[in-house]
Amino acid sequence: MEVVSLEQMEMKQGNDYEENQQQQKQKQKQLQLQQQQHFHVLAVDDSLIDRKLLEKLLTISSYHVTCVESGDKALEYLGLLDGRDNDTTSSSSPSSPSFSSSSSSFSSSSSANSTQQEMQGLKVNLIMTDYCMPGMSGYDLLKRVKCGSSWKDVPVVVMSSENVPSRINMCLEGGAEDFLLKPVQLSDLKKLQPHLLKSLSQFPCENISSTSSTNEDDESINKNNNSSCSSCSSSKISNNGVCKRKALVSADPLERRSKLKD
Amino acid sequence: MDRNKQHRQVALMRQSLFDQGLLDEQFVQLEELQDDANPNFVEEVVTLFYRDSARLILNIDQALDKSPLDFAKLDSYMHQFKGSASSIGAKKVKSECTLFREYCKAGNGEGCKRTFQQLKKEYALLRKKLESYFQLARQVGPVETACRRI
Repeated sequence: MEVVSLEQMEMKQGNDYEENQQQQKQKQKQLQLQQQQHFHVLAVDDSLIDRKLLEKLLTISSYHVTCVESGDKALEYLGLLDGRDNDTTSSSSPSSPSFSSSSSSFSSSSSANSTQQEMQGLKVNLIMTDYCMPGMSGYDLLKRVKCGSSWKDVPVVVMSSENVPSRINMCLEGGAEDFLLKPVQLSDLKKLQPHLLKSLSQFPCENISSTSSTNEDDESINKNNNSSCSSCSSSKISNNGVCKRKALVSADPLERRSKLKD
Repeated sequence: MDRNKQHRQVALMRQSLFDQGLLDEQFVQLEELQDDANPNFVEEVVTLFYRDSARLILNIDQALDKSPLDFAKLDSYMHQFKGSASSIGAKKVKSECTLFREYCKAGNGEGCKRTFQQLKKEYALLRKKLESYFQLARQVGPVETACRRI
């Protein structure tokens, strides 16, 4: 019969605890990574080169990306053209219909009704838009998205090759999450991560997952940002690191610093 | 070994592009986006740049032939062109763009024309040099990757 001293038992408990903590951290990281892979970014830029670059930057950062060449195309994609808005009411059920995400450039010639239906399940976690575009500017797009549309809670980042403080301030005042100077770099995208995670954490009850995260249902994470979540309590969520970062839906972003290069 | 010599050639060629002020940090950023899945990404972007900017060059040429000059339009074209040049790290071309825009703001038509001629020269020179560089790099490239893995 093996005799184990009290000390040995305590040590083992301590080790177990540490191991447990490490395992939990790993699982949180895994979860984050998986959630990241489901992030869908809508990139808007009239420059072909910059679209190609953005697509690459975002893909390498493990995001899904859809590139469009104008504000109008972006609105069309979001189902916001002609004041048409797929704004669901607050009593919408949390379980949304099937969604679609693409990593290709958007082109659509579908009829009005079917487009709207398609867009019902569309998920966009971040909009990145160039400022200077012919026709609708990035600022115009920002305002259209932020002012009362069903996408108003989606973070919008504006990009520009010109460092104009008044322009930057105007965009931030207009609801932009951040303002990036072009050319955009990988390091800029890393800084955007918290904004994206915040958009996920607004609906933590949809992020509930069992600890065996490999069986995660995509739909539990990827929801249309507008769906409400009334019966959520953080006690339901155990190992989900995202819930700790839950942001108030109506809160202003904590950081409004713009990036100013040398 | 022959291969080592080629590697060094590629590296020297690359470095000279930076030393001569033709390329800046953004080019390095592009290189960092290149990987095994996309081994020719930089070349693709540069090729796309030259293809896409050709029409802008034409537009500017045509606009410079008009009289009187429409500086707002010229500036707008150049703003687009400069953006693309900046995105691929074309340092010298970019600085010519900046100069051109300054002449636009000053309403200096002669300055614009002169600068644009210079810009086109730099643009063509960079293209040639990059083509040679990519060609050599492609010959040597795969071998380099294999060495890195060891």
